[in-house]
Amino acid sequence: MSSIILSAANICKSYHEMNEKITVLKEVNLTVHSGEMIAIIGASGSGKSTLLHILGGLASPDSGVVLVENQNMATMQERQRCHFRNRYLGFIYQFHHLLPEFSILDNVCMPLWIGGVSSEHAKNQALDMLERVGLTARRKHRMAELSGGERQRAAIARALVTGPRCILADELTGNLDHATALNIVSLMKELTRETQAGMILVTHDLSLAAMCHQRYTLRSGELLIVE
Amino acid sequence: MEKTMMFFILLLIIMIAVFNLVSMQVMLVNEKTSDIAILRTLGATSGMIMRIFLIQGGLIGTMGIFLGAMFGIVLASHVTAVVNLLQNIFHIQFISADIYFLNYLPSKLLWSDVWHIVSVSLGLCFIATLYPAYRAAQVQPAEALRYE
Repeated sequence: MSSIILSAANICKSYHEMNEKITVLKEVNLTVHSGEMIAIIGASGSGKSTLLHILGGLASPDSGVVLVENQNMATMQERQRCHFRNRYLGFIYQFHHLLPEFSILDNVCMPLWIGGVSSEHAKNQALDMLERVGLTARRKHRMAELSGGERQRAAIARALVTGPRCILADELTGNLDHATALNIVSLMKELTRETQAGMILVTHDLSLAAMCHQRYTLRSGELLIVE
Repeated sequence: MEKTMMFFILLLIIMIAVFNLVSMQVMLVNEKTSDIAILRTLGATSGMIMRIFLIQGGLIGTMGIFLGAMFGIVLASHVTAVVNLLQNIFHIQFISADIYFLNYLPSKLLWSDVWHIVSVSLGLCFIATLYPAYRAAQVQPAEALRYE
């Protein structure tokens, strides 16, 4: 049995808008094992991104506990939490969010530099990762010179370069055509299998969700398994 | 007395430049909110983000002060020649001996004044970068990325 990488227990979250309480997440429970890909599907505004941010320690739940590699980020000091996020988690968003002033190689080096890895070592690791996603020839290019699919592959390389234990992907392929989206998800599946990292993929696309090991739907704040 | 008043007038001019620096930095922080958020998701601490904007604001301010000081020193050292040149080009007598009792613009460069102005400007420039850098450090990644 593979080890548990991420577990969330009884996560509740609500927002207050115009004196009205909007409950987004109700007692959400989720477990991700190493090498496992999980899809979360749900309508827009159903709380998928909020759940992903809570799992990644970017937002705090009203109640409940999230453990990543058996460690609770909520109890950590800010500096320690940032270091933990840098080391154990990888985020990928619908809009790649590559830094336009930097080359693709520098963008992929960024999490390593933040983590304190030496420049030369970071460059070698980033080049290896760019080779894995097929962007070696594009390493000196800037974001504006890349196609949508290439930008997303660069974002994947940036998320994976630190060797995270869990990857959180929010509408990873939302901006891409279906064929490119299938390629990207296949690549992610291959990389997570190799690294034995866990992955949570938030998507609208049922055919992409079908490629994952486990599927959940978020409806009225509740996370339900899709058979 | 006259010198003190002159210093305060110059200080007001510097303050306007400092406000420009603050507004430019605040606009930059607003423009770069999603980049700041993504750096936070990559593990950057709020201290790292603050340092980025402090260094950037400090560099812009220091470069401006350096260029301004150079220009000011050259102009103050050659102001008589510059005024004479302008008078010759435009055929206008700016300083008439009949009115001012002298026909040239006197100028004396005091290095103590230069250091005084440069150090006050550097101090104000550093203070000006604190607020935008603090705002950048306060960006909440989840909030910033929610509306992207």
